[in-house]
Amino acid sequence: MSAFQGLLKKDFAISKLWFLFWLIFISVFLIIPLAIESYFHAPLSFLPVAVILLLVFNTFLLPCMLLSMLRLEGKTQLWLYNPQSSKALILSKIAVSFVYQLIAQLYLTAVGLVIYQFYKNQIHIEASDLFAGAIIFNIGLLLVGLYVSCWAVFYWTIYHSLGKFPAVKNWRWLVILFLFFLYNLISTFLAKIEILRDVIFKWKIPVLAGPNFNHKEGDNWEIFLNMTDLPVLGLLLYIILACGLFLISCWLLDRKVEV
Amino acid sequence: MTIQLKNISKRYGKDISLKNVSLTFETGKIYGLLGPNGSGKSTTLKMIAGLVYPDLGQVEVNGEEVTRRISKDVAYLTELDMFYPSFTVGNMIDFYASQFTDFDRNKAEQLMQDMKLDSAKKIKRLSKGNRGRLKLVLALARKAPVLLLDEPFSGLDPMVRDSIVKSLVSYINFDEQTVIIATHEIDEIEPLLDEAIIILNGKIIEQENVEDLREEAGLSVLEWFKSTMAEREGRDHE
Repeated sequence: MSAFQGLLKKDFAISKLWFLFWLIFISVFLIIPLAIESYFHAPLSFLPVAVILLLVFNTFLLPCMLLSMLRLEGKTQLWLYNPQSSKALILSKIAVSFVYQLIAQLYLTAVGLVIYQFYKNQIHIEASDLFAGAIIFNIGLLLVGLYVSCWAVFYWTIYHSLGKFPAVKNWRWLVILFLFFLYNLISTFLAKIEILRDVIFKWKIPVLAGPNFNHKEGDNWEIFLNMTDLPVLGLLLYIILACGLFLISCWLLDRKVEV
Repeated sequence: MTIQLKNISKRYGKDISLKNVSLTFETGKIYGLLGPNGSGKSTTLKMIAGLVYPDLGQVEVNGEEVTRRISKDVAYLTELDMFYPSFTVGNMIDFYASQFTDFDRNKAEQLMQDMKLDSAKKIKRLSKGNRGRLKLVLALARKAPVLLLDEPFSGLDPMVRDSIVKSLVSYINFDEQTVIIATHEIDEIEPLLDEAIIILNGKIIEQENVEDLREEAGLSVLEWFKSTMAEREGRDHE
């Protein structure tokens, strides 16, 4: 077993129960609307909304699982007593959380497709649109999950790096909040600069996204997928930012976080 | 492998943990880092293990500045609980074997047999004594040139302490390993020590060769420690 496999196995072992609870939770969250629909004889009134809602919630599964694992390790920080690089230590947790999110999304997508098979006549959407939309939507959620995770690791390492300075130890949350608002302030300001906006939107790729749901009479659903332009440079900037946050987190973990 | 602490200082807020400490640890010797609770023993070991960084000064192992990744050469037993509760003893052994290239599985199995540890048992179901034994298995099964033991007897009953001392005698490589044992319980480790160092309030106050102590001063390490501490207290009162 390689060192990275060992890390993956360990991270999976310490988190599998949480994931199991999440799967149980989303199953219950699906059963309840199904029961309500059955009771009121109103098929498709709640379930599709529940599936979409859960898929959106899933965006936060990856960062939440990651933070839960880091929280467990952070109790002693003895996970740092390990000759592997910080990149390997963090990547292993991200990889395990990514797999959890992927499984949860596949489960919910499968539920969505089963609903579609049962109620094909009441859901008006092109099958090819449905599959293309499902794939793009899932990839989008995974990418957003990864991006939010990089921010989560970054804030976590900042928080723990500040732990060695008693003067700010009790005010670490304020520093994190300050950084959060500062970043949002700067990005909002930059987004308002027209030249920058023009450059970012210069190259675009059209993707099937932006679903519109219409609940029609007779318990019918009409779903349209609109074409949305995705700015290539914007996407690239987010990828660079996520990589930068990841590398800063690794640097902090190697040099500033103490046991 | 030589370990050098050069003018090390470390503070935690207003508390001084180490104050201008300079020490050299040489290969093939067993050092006892002795002192009361809070004297700076654990911080010293954590610094050598790369888990805490000095505010001032430098820590070097074989001339290389210590970072977190020195753990490849440093086996470290902490007084803290370092396990994942959902793991079995076997899982923990597998995990260590995957992370540390010098981890010797045969040695680990031999140690587990000696210490009567069941590899299928969940760590959260182990007694404190058996957890202490497992920590020792994980540290001693490595062929690391440096072995750091932080309070290996903490909270353990005399039977366990005895088995730990026996394991240390059987499994330490006396020629090639540098061993540092931080403890305030001197009786148990006294027969093992080559050098004894007293640390108090973050300062090294005495260092003696144990053989010289016994032959020239006619003192045991415990007697020497007590007399040094009493002398220090007397001086502080004046």
